[in-house]
Amino acid sequence: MSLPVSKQKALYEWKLYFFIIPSLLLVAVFAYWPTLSAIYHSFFRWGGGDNKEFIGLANFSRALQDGVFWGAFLTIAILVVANLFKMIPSIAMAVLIHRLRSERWQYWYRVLVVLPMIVPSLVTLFIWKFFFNPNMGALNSFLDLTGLKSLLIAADKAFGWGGVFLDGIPTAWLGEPALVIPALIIWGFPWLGAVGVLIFLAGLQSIGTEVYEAADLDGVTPFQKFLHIEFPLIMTQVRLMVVLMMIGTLQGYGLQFLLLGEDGGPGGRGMVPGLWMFNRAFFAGEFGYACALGLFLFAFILVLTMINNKFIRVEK
Amino acid sequence: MSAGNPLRERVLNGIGLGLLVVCFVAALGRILWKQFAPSQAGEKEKVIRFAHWQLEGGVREGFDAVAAEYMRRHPGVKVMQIPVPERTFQNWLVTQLVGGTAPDLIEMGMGMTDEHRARYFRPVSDIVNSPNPWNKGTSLENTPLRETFIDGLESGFSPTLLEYYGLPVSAFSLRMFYNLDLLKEITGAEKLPATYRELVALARQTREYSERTGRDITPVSGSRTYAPIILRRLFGSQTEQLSSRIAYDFLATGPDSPNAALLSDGYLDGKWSLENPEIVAGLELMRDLSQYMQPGFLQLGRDDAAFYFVQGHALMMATGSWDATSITTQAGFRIGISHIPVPAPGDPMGPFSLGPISDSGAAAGLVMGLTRQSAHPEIALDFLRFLASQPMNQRFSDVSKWAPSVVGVIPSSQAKIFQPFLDGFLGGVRLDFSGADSKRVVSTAYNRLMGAAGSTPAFLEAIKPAYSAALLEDLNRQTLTSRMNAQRTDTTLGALAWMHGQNPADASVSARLDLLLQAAANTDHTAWQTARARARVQAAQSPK
Amino acid sequence: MSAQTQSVGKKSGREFPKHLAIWLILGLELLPFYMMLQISLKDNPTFIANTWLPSLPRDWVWGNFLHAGKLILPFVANSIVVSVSGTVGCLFLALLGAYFFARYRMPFSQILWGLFLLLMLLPGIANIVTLFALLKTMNLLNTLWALIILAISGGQVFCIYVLRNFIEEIPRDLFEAAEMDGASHFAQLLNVVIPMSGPIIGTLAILQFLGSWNDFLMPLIILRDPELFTIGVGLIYLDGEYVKQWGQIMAAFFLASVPLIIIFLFTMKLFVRGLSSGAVKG
Repeated sequence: MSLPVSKQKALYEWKLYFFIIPSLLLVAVFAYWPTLSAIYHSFFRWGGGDNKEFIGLANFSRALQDGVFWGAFLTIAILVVANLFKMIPSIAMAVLIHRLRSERWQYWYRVLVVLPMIVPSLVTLFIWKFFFNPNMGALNSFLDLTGLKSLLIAADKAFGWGGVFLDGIPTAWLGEPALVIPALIIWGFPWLGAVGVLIFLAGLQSIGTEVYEAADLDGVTPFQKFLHIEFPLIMTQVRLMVVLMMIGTLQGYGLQFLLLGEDGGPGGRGMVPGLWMFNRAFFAGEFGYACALGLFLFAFILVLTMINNKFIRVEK
Repeated sequence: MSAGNPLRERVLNGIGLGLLVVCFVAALGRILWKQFAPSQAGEKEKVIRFAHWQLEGGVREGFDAVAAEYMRRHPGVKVMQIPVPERTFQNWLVTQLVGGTAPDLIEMGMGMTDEHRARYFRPVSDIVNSPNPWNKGTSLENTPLRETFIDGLESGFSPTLLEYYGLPVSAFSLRMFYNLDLLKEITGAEKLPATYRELVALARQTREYSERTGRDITPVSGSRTYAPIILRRLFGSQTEQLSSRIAYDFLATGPDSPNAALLSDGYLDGKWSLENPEIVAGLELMRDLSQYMQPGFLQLGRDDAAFYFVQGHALMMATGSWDATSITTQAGFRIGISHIPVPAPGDPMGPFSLGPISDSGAAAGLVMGLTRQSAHPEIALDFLRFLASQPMNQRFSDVSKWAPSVVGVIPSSQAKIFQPFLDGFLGGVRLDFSGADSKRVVSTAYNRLMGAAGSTPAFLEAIKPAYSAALLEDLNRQTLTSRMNAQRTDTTLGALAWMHGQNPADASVSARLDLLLQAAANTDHTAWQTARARARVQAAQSPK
Repeated sequence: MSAQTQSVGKKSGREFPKHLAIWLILGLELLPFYMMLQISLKDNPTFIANTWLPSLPRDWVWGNFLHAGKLILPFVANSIVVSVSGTVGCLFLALLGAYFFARYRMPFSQILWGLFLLLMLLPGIANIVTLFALLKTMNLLNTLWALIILAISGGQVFCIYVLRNFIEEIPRDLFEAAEMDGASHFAQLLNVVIPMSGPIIGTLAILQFLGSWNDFLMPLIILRDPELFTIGVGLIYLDGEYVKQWGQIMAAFFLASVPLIIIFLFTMKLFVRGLSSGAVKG
């Protein structure tokens, strides 16, 4: 802990305040000011310039009736559920690495898991966009190669998806409304998150040897071991990751923006709340309305963060 | 951890850090050099920047050639182009305009509202009636600037703000591209179809050839970007007479906003409906031709359809002149290009045709406008006129292979076919004429018309419930915009009226006053129509 | 949690299937990276003919890299300037700030700490709109300065938070000894704090650097001139081209990753450690 100081000492050390002033100024100007400004401007019709017109709560009531905005929350809900499942590979990876005997291998696998981070996230995203390309994309040529395409065509016919997959026609993953959300879910396969794996590994490290030994004596299968020993012990980490994932998903819109464009792709199926805010501000020039939308998101995320701090980080 | 010892890790980290520092110093040096080196050469350079979204092959080179020429003649001025991808252009535009960092000249059109035009752009109306100084020594030396463009500068005119907002640099047109090698293989000749009848016959022949030989050839490669444009054109050939019945000067002025308001009003008033034989005939034409495109073409993007064609999977593709350079360089076969025919008058395939449809409306394009944020407006304006002069338009056209916008410029052999065809009809109303909402209602139902199981009745059934509401919504929005425009012109109107009172003989003042008053009257008229239509719709909906 | 404390032989089962499973997942995960590398050496027709396998070395199209280099290296240079300056500036100021909080409990420092902690809670989602307007009034639009300053200010809260805990754990005698020698606070920071907290600074630096390197939304709305573009904007513009030579594009993607690859090769451990602690950030 920092040392408590007497008044005299504090007066003597007054120069110490210069240490905090730069950070304080930066935080005040670039973090507090924009937030307060967003609250203030959400009551205005504002085009981003000097002219603004006070309109009371009109922006908020418009947001409440904004079908696109609330539809975007539905999309987010789907993506959050999908992202829950997309955590499985990271957990599996962590458990696999943890169960290895060789520490050398453990270290090198850890490095390999981190390796994809050296590709800028934008590059990964554009490579995936290229995978989705109907003519040259790897995804279509993979489906053709493995014959999965004919399976999808049959399913299309059987379940009446309305001709999403057609014989001899390249599937437009990012061009067909019904495929937008599936494409957003497939994106990033096999969904290994470097941060997630490392955090789960840290959690697994706390498992004592004797637990495993006891389990071995009882002759439990590897999967039972996971269910009864490993998973309960990393529950804290899993909960942490779930909340972080939810916050991240709710806040993020770069992926949708770059893959699908500012309208959320065909039929607007990929529209997420953050993207709608960005769209209103920087495409439609409705900065005041965008501030109001931002505040709704702000409130949602704030609640999630509080839940996180209250229930999940306690054990840290 | 197992790998390495602390010392080794330290050394490695040190090397990494060292490399990073070296890169940093080099990069910083580069930036500083770029920033300060030119200023040592003497007085500070004046920089003119112009932005556009034409990233197609050849255009940037064309602009560079003109800019280099301008810089050669004006030492101390630097002209830079900012090519912005189409996908981010609107975002870019709004940020630059709002952020006050807009370049001197910007291509007009995409995502640009009347509000943007009025607030952020400087009208060029003052200069359009005098000759372009850069045309000195050419045949256009004494021609007023406005008359030096093939479209009489219609492309630079804003009918709602009644000002000229820019000068066009090129001309755009939609054409049919043919794979000549494939055409020869199928028909034994290289004759491009001249009439709609021949086009459909060729498409049918191609389909039969494909079935007979088992080769994967589609008659027409379509995309969700361009196929609807072509098909809507066919539709328009059937609705010209209908349109002129409802909006009396439709055939002269096309679907500009007063006409659109009249047509919406007419629909809401029951003067025409979706069952009109003209509408049905137009839809049938759309469906017929769409059946010769690859199934699912409504999912394909512009690049994908072009790729399909370039790979030799389609005999024809309809696309814009702007894609010509990219396509000819990528295709491994010879290309033929021709106009896209519509049914001839009296042809039972399209009984309501009046004749060929012209490329007007968007005849000249790539209109560059002058922003109010320009630091050197005189130089920017001068460069704009330079760009739009006959000799420079010739150079631009030669390098880019794009069709010229200036009278008397000789297009390259490739660009000749892209010269706008102006001797035809304007094309009648399309179902998505009124704005964003009708566009949404119509385009989301396209697969009901063109899909494998689609038909005209199915399509009409799909759009009918939402159609009047969409028209009304668009009409409302249009009224709101024109009201705001009218408010903006009120001050000007007052000032002009005062000036007119001071000096009634000044013809330019009275002419402008007349124009503005007429616009105000138009606005009022639209507002009145909307109010009337809305009242009627509400009366019809409320229970008795 | 270091590896030495784990006892050997605690786990059972055959090793081979585990390795196989790990490699399978890793292989799929690294597939984009592999595709990028192999396509970067092909031209369009070669790629269409052969999607999956790398072409023979004698057919490699090195010209792709030449072309891509011309295109992307100026953006890489700008990104390096922004990310390095942003990271260094951020850590320098954060060290000062953390020192202030950690060394003494000065009057008001509790309140100030509260102000910083509050920001850990408040999401910055709506800020992009008003930050844009703020940068406009500060005349910082279309400058690299804007990006550097945002990188510096954006990292303050997290870095101060982490560093404060770290500095507080440095034995107090070290500071006192330095003070006896007449060292100023700045000298103490330089001679006591920095040598003692090398790894955590390195870890934070990598996190900040990655964040700034990967950012594209702010640069996209801040930068106008192509000569100022950072990697993010540059790649978005590259993606907007109509005629796509995939080989060249992939080569450009690869070149955009090179600085990170170099950093990774030399600071692997910091990287791994940095990412594990990255989650605290939230």
